[in-house]
Order: sequence, then C-alpha cells, then structure tokens
Amino acid sequence: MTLAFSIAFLSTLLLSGCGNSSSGSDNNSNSGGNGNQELYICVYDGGYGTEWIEEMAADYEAKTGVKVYAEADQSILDRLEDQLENQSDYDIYMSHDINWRNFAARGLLANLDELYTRTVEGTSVAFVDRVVEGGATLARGEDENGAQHYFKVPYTQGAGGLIYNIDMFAEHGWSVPTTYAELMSLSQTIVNAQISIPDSRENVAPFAWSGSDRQYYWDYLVFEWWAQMAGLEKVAQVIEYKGPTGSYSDGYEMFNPATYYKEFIDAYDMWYDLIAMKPSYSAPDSYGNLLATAQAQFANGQAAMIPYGHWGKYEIENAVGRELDFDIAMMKTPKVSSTSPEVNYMVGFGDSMIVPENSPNKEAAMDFLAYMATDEACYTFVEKAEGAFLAFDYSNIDLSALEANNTYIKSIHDKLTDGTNFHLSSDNPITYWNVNQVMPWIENKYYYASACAQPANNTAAIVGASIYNRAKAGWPVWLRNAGL
Amino acid sequence: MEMSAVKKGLPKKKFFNGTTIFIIVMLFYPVAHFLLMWLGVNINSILLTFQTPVRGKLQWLPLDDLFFNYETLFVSFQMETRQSLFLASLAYFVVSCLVTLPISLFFSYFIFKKIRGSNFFKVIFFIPSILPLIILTIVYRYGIFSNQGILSPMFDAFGWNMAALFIDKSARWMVWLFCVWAGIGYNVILLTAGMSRIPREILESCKMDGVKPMREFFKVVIPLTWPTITTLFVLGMMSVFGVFMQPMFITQGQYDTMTIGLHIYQASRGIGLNEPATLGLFCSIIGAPIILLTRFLLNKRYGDVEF
Repeated sequence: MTLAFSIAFLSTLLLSGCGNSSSGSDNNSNSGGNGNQELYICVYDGGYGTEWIEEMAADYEAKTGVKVYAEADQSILDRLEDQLENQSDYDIYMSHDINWRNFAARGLLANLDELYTRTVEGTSVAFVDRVVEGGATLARGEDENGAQHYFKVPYTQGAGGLIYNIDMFAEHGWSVPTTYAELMSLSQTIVNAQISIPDSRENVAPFAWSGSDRQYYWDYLVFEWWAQMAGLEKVAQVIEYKGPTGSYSDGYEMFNPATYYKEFIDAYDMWYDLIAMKPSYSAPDSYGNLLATAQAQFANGQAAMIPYGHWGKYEIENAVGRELDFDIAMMKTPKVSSTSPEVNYMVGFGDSMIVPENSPNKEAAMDFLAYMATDEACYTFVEKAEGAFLAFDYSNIDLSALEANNTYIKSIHDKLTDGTNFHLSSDNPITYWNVNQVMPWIENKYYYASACAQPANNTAAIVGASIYNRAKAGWPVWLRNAGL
Repeated sequence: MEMSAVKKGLPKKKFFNGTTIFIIVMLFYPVAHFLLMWLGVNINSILLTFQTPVRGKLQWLPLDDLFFNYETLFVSFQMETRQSLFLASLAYFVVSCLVTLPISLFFSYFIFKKIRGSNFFKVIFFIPSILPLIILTIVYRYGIFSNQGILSPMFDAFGWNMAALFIDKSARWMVWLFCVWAGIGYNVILLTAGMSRIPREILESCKMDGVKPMREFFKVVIPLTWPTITTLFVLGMMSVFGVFMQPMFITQGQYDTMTIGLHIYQASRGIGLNEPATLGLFCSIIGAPIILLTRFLLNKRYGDVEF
C-alpha cells in the first residue's frame, strides 16, 4: 500500500512538471483544421492603434472570404523569439525591433521571394517595385546556408521631428522655422513672450518632451542635421561599419569623433546648445518627465512644440483621451543652414512584417501582405493610423480627401515626399548578431536627459570620446559574435 | 554463543523493504532537483565559459583560444561601464549591511519593547514585505516620486525638481532609498522573531538591575540575537551579486545603476550566454570565500547562542 502510494505520488510530481512549452494561445494550432481559411496576425500595440488592422482585416475578409484574426500586443517582442523557435501563435508579426536578419539566418522565417514577384492587385506594378525605394533591398537577408532571400516586408516609412501647435503659432504670429538659427530665435521669442498658462505659475514653453521615457525622439532632428552636414554618402559609409580600409576589424573607426563621426557629434552639439544649455526652452522638468506628462503638456497648450514620430497625433490623442482642440502638423526639421539639403530620416524604416517558418498558413500570409500593398489598404492605414504611412509607394494614391481635412496627415506626406529619404538600417552582420550594441548611439546609451541634468559632464567632446572608446572596447567581442 | 543463536533465529532483513523504498521515493524528487537545477546548471555554466556564440549558435572555443571569455572579462575591467557595474553592485553591501540592517535592528528593538507607536511601524515595515516588488516599485516611482505623486506638492513648494530624481547621478540614490525602505520589513520580521526568543527572565533581571534600554540593546539583545544578525549580514553581502529587480524596475539599469545581477539577467536573455556565465563564475570564485570567511568570523564573535 505504501509502495503503491509512493509510486502514485512520485508519478504525479513528475507529470506535473511536464507541459506544453509554447506560451500564448493555441490559436494557430486550430487553423490547420480549417486549412488556409483563417489567418492570425499580431501587431505591436503602439502608436498606430488597431482600427487600421481591424478595418483592413474586415475588408480582406469581405474580398476573399479568409477570416483574419488580428491582435495587438505590447509584449509580443518578449515572446517572439520563443514563438518562432517553437510554435507560433500567428502567421504574421508586425512590429519594430524585430531582429529579422538574426532569425532568418537561423531558419526561423519564411522565404518571401514569391511574394515579391507578384503583381499588386489594381496596379501593373510588381510587389518588389511597390515597396518604397530602398525597402526591398533591405528586406533581403541570408538564410542558414548563406543564400539571399526576401525574409520580411518593410512595415512603415516614417517621419519624425517637431510637431507644433498650428493655432498657437497663428495666434502669436510665429513663423515655422526653416533653419536652426530661426528655431533658436523662435524659442527665445516664445520664452520672452511669457504667455501664461491658466491655473499655473508657468508660461508656455517652446518644447515639451519626455527625458524619462522617450528622450530618443530628439534623434529625429539630430539624425537629419547629421545627414545635412555629413552628406548622405558619408552617412551610408558610416553605417556599413567597415573600417577605413574596408574591413570589419577596424569598423569602430566609424565612431571616431575626429573623422568619420565628426558631423554626428556636431549634430549632437547643436541639440546640446538648443536644449541642454537652455533649460528655459523646455517645459519644466522635461528631462525627467514621463511620456504621459509631456503629452499632456503639449495637448493642454503648455508647450508649442514636441519632438515625436509620425504616430504622434494618434498616440497623443489616445493618451489624453480626447481629440486635440487645435490643429497640429509636423514641421520639416529646421535645416542646419539655408543651403543645407532637404532630407527626411525615415523613422521606423527598420520595422518589419514577418512570416514565421513554422506557420501553417504561409501562402495565406503572403496573400494578405500582397493585399496590404493595394491602394485601398495603403489609404486605410494612413486614414486610421492618422498620419502613418505603410512602406509602399504612395505616389499614385490619392490622399487629397484626407489631407484636405487633416493638416497633420498632409504635413507627414509632405515630409516624406519633399526631401531625400534616408535610413540608418545596416546590413552589417555585426549589427544584428549583437542586439542593441552597434548603432548610432553605441550600446543604445542616450545622453539627452543626462545632458540636461549635468550639462558639464555631457558636452559633445565628452560624449564623442565616450562613444568612440566604448565602440573600440566592445568591437572584438562583437566581431566574434558575428562570425566576422 | 547466545548472541549467535539469537542471530541465527532472526529472519534475514531485505534491503529493499517498504521503508527503504518509501525513503528512496520521497528523496528522489529533491535529489533529482538538486542534481538538475544546481549541479547540472552550474556545470553547464562552467562549460559555457569555454564557448562563444557565432552567428547565433554556441560553439566551443578552439584550444589555442580556450580562455577567450576570461581574457575578455579581465580586459573589460578597464572599461568604465564594467567598473561602474562593480561599484554599483558593491554599493549594495553598504546599503544592505551597513544601513538597512542597523536601522532594522533599532526598529526591531522598538517593536520588541512595545514602545508607543510600535504597532504603526510594524504595519509600515511589513507592508513592503508582503506586496510584490513590481507593485512597490510602481508605487515608489510613479505614485510617490513623480510629478503626479503624493509628494509632488511638497517638492513644488520647496522648488525642488522631482523629475530630476531618477535621472543621472541622483538615480542611484533613489534606487538605494527604495532598497532601504523595502528591505527593512524583511529584516524586522526576522529580528523581532529572534528577539522574542530571548528568555523573559534575562530581561526582567536587566529591568531589576536598572539597566538602561540602550545598554540592554547593545549588551544583551544584540549578543542574544547574533545568529539572526549574522544571517542577515551574510544575506546582505550576497545581495551584491543578487540585486537586479530594483534597478530594473526603477531605472532600467540606466544612469550607473546597472548591477552584476541585472547585467547577467539581461545578457542571459540573448544568445551570448558565455559572457554572463563567465562573469557569474568569476563573481562566485571571488565572492564565495569572502562570504564564508565573513560568516566564520561573525560566528566567532559571540559564539553559539543557547538558551
């Protein structure tokens, strides 16, 4: 009796430790039973909202009869790798920060070559040509055997910079600055105007921003100043992260503040003079503020401008729980000088839409991705995400009805089309085999908030030297990790 | 003769009788758990220090470069970021052993002596011990020390910039402050339990002899609760390597608050397990003897308490 009880007890203990290793729901395991009549999509729950994917899914289902289940999830990046390695709950994942080259080289992503040869419905354009310029090239990566294939579809083409309060500007007769000097002058004008805020001792500040949560939004200006001063060719050379001799081994020289990285440090210096050295130009406590505080400050008219990405309108309105009671637009980043070229840093250009290799509905997933390239889907995205654009060619898509009633959408569209777009996504293996290490801000360390807290310790010279030294110190290990 | 006759008469005992099998079965799970989760994990960690990730897969290092990970570790000590890591971690020895523990001792004594207000302090100290750490950090970061927090009006009145508290150099002080606040309760629970075991006769004797409270505290209470104090001191020393959730939740490891534990936790989520394994092994080799020696020396101070 004792023996039998002991064996039963032990068996219970052992079996309780076993279980399904996959996390998340078993959505996708049911789709096998229905063949390819169902599609499961996961989008990162961020500043684009979910209305666009819900409408797109409904339109697609009405067209094709394929049932699309779309979910938004902020935690998907934490679970993505595990799902790709084991059992994916979804057939398509859409998000920023997907290390897709890494996943492709490990055989975790589906080969999308066939998708890129298709003709986009309603056009005579091949999918590869429908993707925004440069996007298709960047969507190619190596598989486990080193062969090149398409493994992702670029998600969005982006714009970032200063969103401003059109009504406030008009009320006070402020012009939208076109150069850095004008921006400085405008900021001083706003401070001098001492426009009081109702029920507050503070005055309207030029900028509201979040040093605690989103200090990297200043990158959208700094990167464009960098590109203007260095030229796009030099920027492209830097992000190859190959040394002066063209080899990987001394690629850290691209971070040398005296040579290759000089203009980047100069751009940081411009920001430093505008913000770190001028505390009165920022709303109180900006460098320590939470994002919600910065959003509220801008929405409540306590600041004239806020640095943001193209998702700004949707995200700010969603955060404050109401539509803004003034018109906004994203200004083109004031240029370094009046003769500087017009450029646009494509925020989020590295964002991806991927299909897992273990998806049972790869064909249906590619069908949906092809549908996203149609005029109808592209229009829906802009309309519902309020100013965000998919990474497809919009030149033949009529957005006039949207733009007539929405200054923000028009400003984003102008920013995307009026200058030369550039990105900072690198295909050097050292970048994707070392996550968040080799990038413009080495090891993903930002200095904006610290520079406001301790300006003397975060000057351009100090920051430049720190970046270079950290790149040099980490380079041997990063090279080895990348197999270079 | 008699013994052997008795011995001859006894039935031969089976080794695998019901009792033995029961013992084996009951011990099987904890032994298997130890072998897998301690011995196996640690052996695997040591083996990891001789591997390196190449394009996402761990490979053995070549024989002529077998100690690459260790060389890289020692070279990294020259880097500012690595020095900051160790300094930030060592600070927790001071926070845990030299700040939190003495404060806990005093408060435990006040609670033990049932001084006025002791029940209130009991609640104040115990609440952080029973709430999950994530809730505590959210309350601390966003409910107390933020522009919308309950202390905000007071800070505003003094013109202090509350938003700056979690940025740059003050960030580490805020993490330490949290650790003290949240750590006192755990210590107080253990110390008051230790103090409550002190024989009443000793305390009554002190009272009759007119021993003042402070003298009683230092000459009677501390020696008699020394084993508990030693345990907490050793646990405090171990926090140098173990603290990771507090800086993770409060500052995400920014502004020189990254600790050894947090770095190992973050690095272990990727493919490059060799680096955190090497760092962990180094810390174990250095830290274990120091902690054991400290425990030995502390135990010798007052000897074993028996009453």
